Amino acid sequence: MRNHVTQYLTAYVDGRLNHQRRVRVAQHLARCEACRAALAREQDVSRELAALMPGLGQPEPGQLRRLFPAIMAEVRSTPSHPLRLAPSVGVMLAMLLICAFSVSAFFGGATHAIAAPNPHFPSDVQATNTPVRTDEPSRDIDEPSPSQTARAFILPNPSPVPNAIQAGK
Amino acid sequence: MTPFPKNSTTQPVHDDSVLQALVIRCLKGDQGAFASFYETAAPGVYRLAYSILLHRQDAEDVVQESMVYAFRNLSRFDAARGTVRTWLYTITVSRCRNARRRKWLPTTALSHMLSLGLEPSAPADHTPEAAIARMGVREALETALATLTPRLREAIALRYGQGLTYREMADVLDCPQKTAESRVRLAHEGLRAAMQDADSALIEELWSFQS
Repeated sequence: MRNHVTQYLTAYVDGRLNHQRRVRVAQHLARCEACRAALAREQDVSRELAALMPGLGQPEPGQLRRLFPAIMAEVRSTPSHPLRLAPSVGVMLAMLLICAFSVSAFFGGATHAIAAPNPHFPSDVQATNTPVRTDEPSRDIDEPSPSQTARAFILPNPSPVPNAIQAGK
Repeated sequence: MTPFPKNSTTQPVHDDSVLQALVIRCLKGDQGAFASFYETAAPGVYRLAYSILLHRQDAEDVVQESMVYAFRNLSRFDAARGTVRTWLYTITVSRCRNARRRKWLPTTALSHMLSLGLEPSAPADHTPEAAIARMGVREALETALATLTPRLREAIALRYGQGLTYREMADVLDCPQKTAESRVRLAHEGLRAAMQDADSALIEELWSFQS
């Protein structure tokens, strides 16, 4: 039978289902033997847990009393709070790490940050040499354009310009 | 068939107003109040820790850690946020989780639950037979609990061992109330499944005797 109601049985036994759901569960239980068996097990589990769990782990006489002196000794032995100490240690470690990073940034990091100037490297780098029709006057052919210079440094083997574009030029 | 044979149990009642009064006396420096607070609160803390860890020495360690923390932080207790009992149980559950991290606690395989439901009923007398039966009760219950995950065991221990409401459980476990309800439900389903296995095992055993 589909739509079993086993997931509602704990709340059903505990009386925590709303009226509509409770009626549906009851109707299903009336015609489903498997869920009725599950309900019987649920009632057993609920009853037995309620009866037995409060007695589980009952301390033996004197068992806890003998712990008390050690507890009070520990409470009195450390006037400074260990959980207050723990964050302060963490803060100290964090400050040390920050200091270490700061020192490395000031003294060690600068040599990596400043690269040697490259006089041939143009400021306006263009990745390709695709011709664009503009109204700008033509450049002197002996003076390399910035894009050509960039290509010379960045792309050691530039792809040839397609013939169609060369013809159009 | 019952999964756990009956046993007469008594649950110590923690009067929270008593505990709150003791907290105030402790904060004023009354040394006798610390002993009274401990006498009142420690049994519940131990039972909770034992129900979760299922280990006597570990539960004692948790009692010690929890009470030391509580005594050092009595000034942090805020009655507006909950009762002393739920505050103590929050500390206890946290210490139990730490204890589990320190020492891996194996979860019993479901197949070990096959003895569940086959235990003899515990008679209410004090004969040696009754003592043995009561030991069987405790073992059956602990075996059943050991099949659950630690989070589900926490929920069962708080709900049935300490009698907390779902709202209080949510506060202690730091989760929504629906989650607390779901954990209890899942624990019930796990125990029901184990009972079903136990029933099947009993039927097979009976058939083997007849054939």
